[in-house]
Amino acid sequence: MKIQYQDIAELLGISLQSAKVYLDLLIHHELSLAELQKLTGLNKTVVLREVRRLIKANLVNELKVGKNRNIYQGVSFLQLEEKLERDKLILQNLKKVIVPALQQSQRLGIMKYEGIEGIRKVYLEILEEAKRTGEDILAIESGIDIEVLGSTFIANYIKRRLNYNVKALIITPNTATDRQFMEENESRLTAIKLLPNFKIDSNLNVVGDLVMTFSLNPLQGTLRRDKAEARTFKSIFNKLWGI
Amino acid sequence: MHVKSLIEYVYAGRKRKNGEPVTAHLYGVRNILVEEGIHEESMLNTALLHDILEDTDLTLDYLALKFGDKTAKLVDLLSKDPSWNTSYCRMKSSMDEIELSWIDYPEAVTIKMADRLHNLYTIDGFKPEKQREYIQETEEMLFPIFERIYEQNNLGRLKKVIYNLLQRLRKEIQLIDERLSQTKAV
Repeated sequence: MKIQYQDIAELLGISLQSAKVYLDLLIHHELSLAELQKLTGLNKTVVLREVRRLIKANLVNELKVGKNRNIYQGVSFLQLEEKLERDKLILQNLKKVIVPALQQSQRLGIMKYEGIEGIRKVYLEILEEAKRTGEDILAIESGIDIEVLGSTFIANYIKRRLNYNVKALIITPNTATDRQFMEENESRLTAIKLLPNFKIDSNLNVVGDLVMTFSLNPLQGTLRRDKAEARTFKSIFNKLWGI
Repeated sequence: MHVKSLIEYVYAGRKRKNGEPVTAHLYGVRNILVEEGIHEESMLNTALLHDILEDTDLTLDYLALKFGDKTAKLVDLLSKDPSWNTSYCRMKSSMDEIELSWIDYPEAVTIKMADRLHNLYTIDGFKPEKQREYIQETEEMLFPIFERIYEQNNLGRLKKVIYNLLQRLRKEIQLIDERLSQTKAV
């Protein structure tokens, strides 16, 4: 497509005659008023008026080279590019001031929790994350540890998970408690894999952007919201699961 | 722009659950700090702005631009992160952040205490069950952190303020407990 003076004028927000003067200054870099008159075919008054407008728009620089002689320079592409970069940076920062979502999207979160009640509360956070994202819960858990949460809580939690239609994939050591847990709980929405010689000191749940770990001795853990960490743990889990 | 002009503008017409204007709570928190001898502008401004990130679409950068980095940081510390799914995690992570930042920003815990105290002063609008839950949350999740921070040595003049606020919180909880047990008895 051939570019027209009109396009340049619209793009830069200047008049048609300014566009003619500006283009000649860009091509020839430095021109006097007389030279500009000749090249553009515009009369002296018009050229002078347009040059003044271009100077005001920061597109042209005026240089004094003699007592009564001025020459004019079109702002170079390099300078224009620098201005563009500056404008881009300003725009990015302005966006941060104006759009709250940009501040939240990659924000890390971490919290500590203690005691059985803390662990129960965090299990519910994990469940809500699964509901929100529609993802399966990936868990590495020891049946003995999970028993600490109490049979009423476990039953209610599983009921709620099934109501939400959230699937859990659980890798667990192959102890008698784990085998019993598997017999009692395996269903359409609960898949359990027993791994022989698999020792764990901490129980782990991963879903969405959340990674939860806790141990029994002492009874405490952390919950992190970190997309990259969650993705890494999902990869490790899938390898163990054999996906 | 003056902080008061901003909060009057963004909270215009908005009420709390007890029917009071939202700004009454913000001024209430500020007044508690003034009663405790706090005159530092960034703290008093933060008291007025402490809920603004949770309640509006304004951003942290906007607050930094208008009121400076320190006020913005304090407001950020006092704002619960909405990315958590449950109220437990929103509160717990917020308190963890306040505790982790006490060395650089002991003002945050002080304002949080004034905020909780004013909420307790105006708890009457809630049902007894909700009041009990609120007290339980204060005692189990907030007090341990308030007390741990109070035990620190580098709090300067805020140590006395934190001590006073702890006493006022305990006293207010005792009064509410008494009121609730009387309601139960009736």
